[in-house]
Amino acid sequence: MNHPKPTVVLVLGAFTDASSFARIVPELLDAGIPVLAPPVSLRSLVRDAAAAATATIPGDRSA
Amino acid sequence: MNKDPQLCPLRGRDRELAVLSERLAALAGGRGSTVVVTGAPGTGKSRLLLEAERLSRPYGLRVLRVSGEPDAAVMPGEGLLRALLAGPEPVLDAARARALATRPDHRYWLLQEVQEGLERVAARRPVLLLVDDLQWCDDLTMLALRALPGRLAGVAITWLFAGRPGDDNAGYTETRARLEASGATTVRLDRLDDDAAAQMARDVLGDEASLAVLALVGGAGNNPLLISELLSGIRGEGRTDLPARFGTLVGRRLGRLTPDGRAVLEVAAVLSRRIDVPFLGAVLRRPPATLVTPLREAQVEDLVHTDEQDLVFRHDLIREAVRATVPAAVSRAIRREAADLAAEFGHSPAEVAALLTDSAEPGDEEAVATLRRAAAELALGAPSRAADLSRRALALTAEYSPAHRAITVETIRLLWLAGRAAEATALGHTLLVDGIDSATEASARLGLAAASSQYSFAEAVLQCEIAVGSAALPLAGRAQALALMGVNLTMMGDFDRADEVLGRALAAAAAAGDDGARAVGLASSSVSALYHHRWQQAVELADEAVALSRTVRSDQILWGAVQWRSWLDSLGGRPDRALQSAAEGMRTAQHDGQAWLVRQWSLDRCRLLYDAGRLADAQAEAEGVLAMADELGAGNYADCTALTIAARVALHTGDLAAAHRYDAEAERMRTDRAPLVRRAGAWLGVLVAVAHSRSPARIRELLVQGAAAIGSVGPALGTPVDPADDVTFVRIAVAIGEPDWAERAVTVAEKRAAANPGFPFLAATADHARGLLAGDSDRISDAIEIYRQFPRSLPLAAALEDLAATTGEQSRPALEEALSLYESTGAIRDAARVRSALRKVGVRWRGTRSSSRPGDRWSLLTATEAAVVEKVAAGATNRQVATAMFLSPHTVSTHLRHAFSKLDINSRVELARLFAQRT
Repeated sequence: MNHPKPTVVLVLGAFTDASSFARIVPELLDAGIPVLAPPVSLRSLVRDAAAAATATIPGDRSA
Repeated sequence: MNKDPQLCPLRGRDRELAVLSERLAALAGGRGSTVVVTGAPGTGKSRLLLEAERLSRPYGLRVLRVSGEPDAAVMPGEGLLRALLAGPEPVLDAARARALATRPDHRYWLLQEVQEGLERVAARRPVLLLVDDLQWCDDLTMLALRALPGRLAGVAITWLFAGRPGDDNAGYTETRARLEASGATTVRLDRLDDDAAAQMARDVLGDEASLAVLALVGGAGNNPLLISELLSGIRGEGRTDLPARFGTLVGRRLGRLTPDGRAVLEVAAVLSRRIDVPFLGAVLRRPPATLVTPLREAQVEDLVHTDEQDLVFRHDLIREAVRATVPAAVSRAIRREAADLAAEFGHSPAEVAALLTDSAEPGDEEAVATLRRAAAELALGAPSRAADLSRRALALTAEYSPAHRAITVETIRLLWLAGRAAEATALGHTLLVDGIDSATEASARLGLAAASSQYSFAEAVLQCEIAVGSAALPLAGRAQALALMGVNLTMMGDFDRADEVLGRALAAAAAAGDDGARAVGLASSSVSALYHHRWQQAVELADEAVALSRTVRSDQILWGAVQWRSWLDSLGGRPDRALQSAAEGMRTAQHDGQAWLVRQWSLDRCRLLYDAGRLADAQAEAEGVLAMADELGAGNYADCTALTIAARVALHTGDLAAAHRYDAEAERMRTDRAPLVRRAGAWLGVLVAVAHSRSPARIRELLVQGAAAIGSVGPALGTPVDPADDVTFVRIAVAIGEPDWAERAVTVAEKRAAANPGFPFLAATADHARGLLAGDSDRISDAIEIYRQFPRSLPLAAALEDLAATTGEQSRPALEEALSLYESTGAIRDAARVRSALRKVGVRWRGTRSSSRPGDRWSLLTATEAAVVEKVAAGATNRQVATAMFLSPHTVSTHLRHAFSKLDINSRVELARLFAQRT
């Protein structure tokens, strides 16, 4: 039964920004699910994909 | 089943959390904001901040934590600096921050440094800045926290403040008002609702939460801290008949400690919230090792906990409850003794002073000496706190003693430095003006004069008089005091006395060999010459003063000869030359790191830019420099320049609401002690009243002062004089049915022009005024021809309008030229007036140059705004832009704000995106 919990990564699409996640993030956190919402500059597909792929959370001490 | 309430979920704050989640998500997208959480102690403000931090983790924001300390013993700025110097990539460079602490303009530079650091960090990663216990932040931290959110608008920072609702200190009240005024969202934490309270009980006690417990919780007024305290009690004691009173609950815990544990904790509570163990040991006269057991007991009882490395009372209310068990007299005695020990411990005078302020008794000379030392040490960084300590020292000192006089003078100076003008003046009046008997007091008075001269010309004159009246003042001091008195007399408008004093100042400066004082004396003589209508002599004296001041060390310059010289250029119709000197002056001031000089140039530039017809730039400069009042204070000079110009620009651009607001502020000018300041205030009132179409009687009432002053020496209207204002005066006087006033003004203008043939701009305004009064189109045409040689579009446009009014049919070309001039300066309201005149002569419609294709908002930006925006979009910080463009960083931030509103964006991220799309 002790599967490690999955981490949910939220990546935004065109014409939006991270504010779309305002409601889902607290819910996931309250359910004890690790969440990442890396910043995406929406400049180019390649660049944004690379940014999302390498996203790490500095200073994260998620317990 | 029982759980520690601290580890339980947050209950009953869903609405507040939703606000925070939304702000954090927006921040992740680059859009910052400001949120202030207020609530009584124990409503869960700190807990909400912790939740915000938890919610921010998924976004990988940079989190900075600032917290206020109730014991006020910290060094100025420490609250902020601790946060900015922490972590692997600190916002500030520690060495640089330390170096700044010793600079005279400490506050200004520190704020610059902090602003720059935050901009840089936020450009890489959005910043969540948490400030807990705002009400206890030190002066300097508070100053930064109220000024920076506005200046960093558009930067990806969310400022989340938590503080109490009370207003026990002035700085806190002002900070909250400012944050609110600049658009902060306020979240008020109230008592919990019953469901949430019951939920809390179940979280801690599980299903054991009986009806009896729930009733008890209801009796706790649904205050979360009290509930959690109560629940811990129930859990610890296993009984449900506990009193729902906080002090009693804490008392019960205290009762569970051993006598030794209790004694130690009581002394600790008397000293501070943060427990300094070695110091506590010293006060208790026992080795720190013997404190391990008693402090551990307190930890087990959850009265104190560890915060980073320190032991801290878990909540300030807990500390208060423990402290309240110690009788006040005992508490005072402990703090008084602790103060002596703190000094031996090498604590800073400020820390020692914090222990002394409420513990020393009158006549305690040692305490007085320490408080004075602390005040002196804090004078530069936290003048307001220094003034408070100095006042405390004063209260402990016997009246009518020499020490009392000396401390009074010190306190007044600190109050001036803190910008607390009213208190400074009131305290000044308690001193007998005669009978200075020591060189120290005379020099102190000179310092007072210098400190007050930017803020109150009249006060500066008074202090100089007192200093000069003392036989004890050394020769160099006398020269400086006389020169400073001369300057301020000319600024007040008392030219007869100014001339007499300046004669003595120059003689004293020569005798003392003090070139600094001589330069000031010469520059003031130049002011006087100008107002005696000897403009050529004024220029020569100013040139001499400039040459002399170049040989003086910049930190010894009391008043700017170079600045006055640039004013002369602008008054003579050449604001372009004046602006060149201003750019040069600003560069030097920035390079030398002299904040007051940066501000001085910025104040001057407001008027110079206005004279040059660059209205948007003048407005940005004025708003920027008015914002600097935070760290450098406001006062007479700023009112005559920045405030006046902000209002006049608003009149031209048609922002009558803003003009009205500035005019309301200018009320203080109209009641100032200096006649020139009063007149300048009245003149501004006239202009605003005319724009608001007030009754002639109301306008006459405001104009009568200026009318009476016309023909006497010195400016009758604005300060420094603008010859073009005479024309406006004539127009208004005629309109309200006072032709005699108009005639007198024209005569004086003609006399001035005749006396100064080397200054043709004066002839232009005289011709213009005469032509307007007499309805003589030839005279107006003469004026126009001369105006054309000068880069002052607004008077030229006014003359073209007046010409059109006298020529009837052939008015069209003049009106069209006036329109195009008004449009190019951004004088929208004047342009509208001319357009309506054009319609009357049959010109139906005429497009404006700014109406270009819809969506192209870029064309709305002024040249300066466009240049600033381009640099910022490329990643420059405000300060980098400021250095590159010879502006003050405040002005840059104003330009940027204006550009943002024209482009309809809120953040730098959006700007960068928009800019990338554009190119």
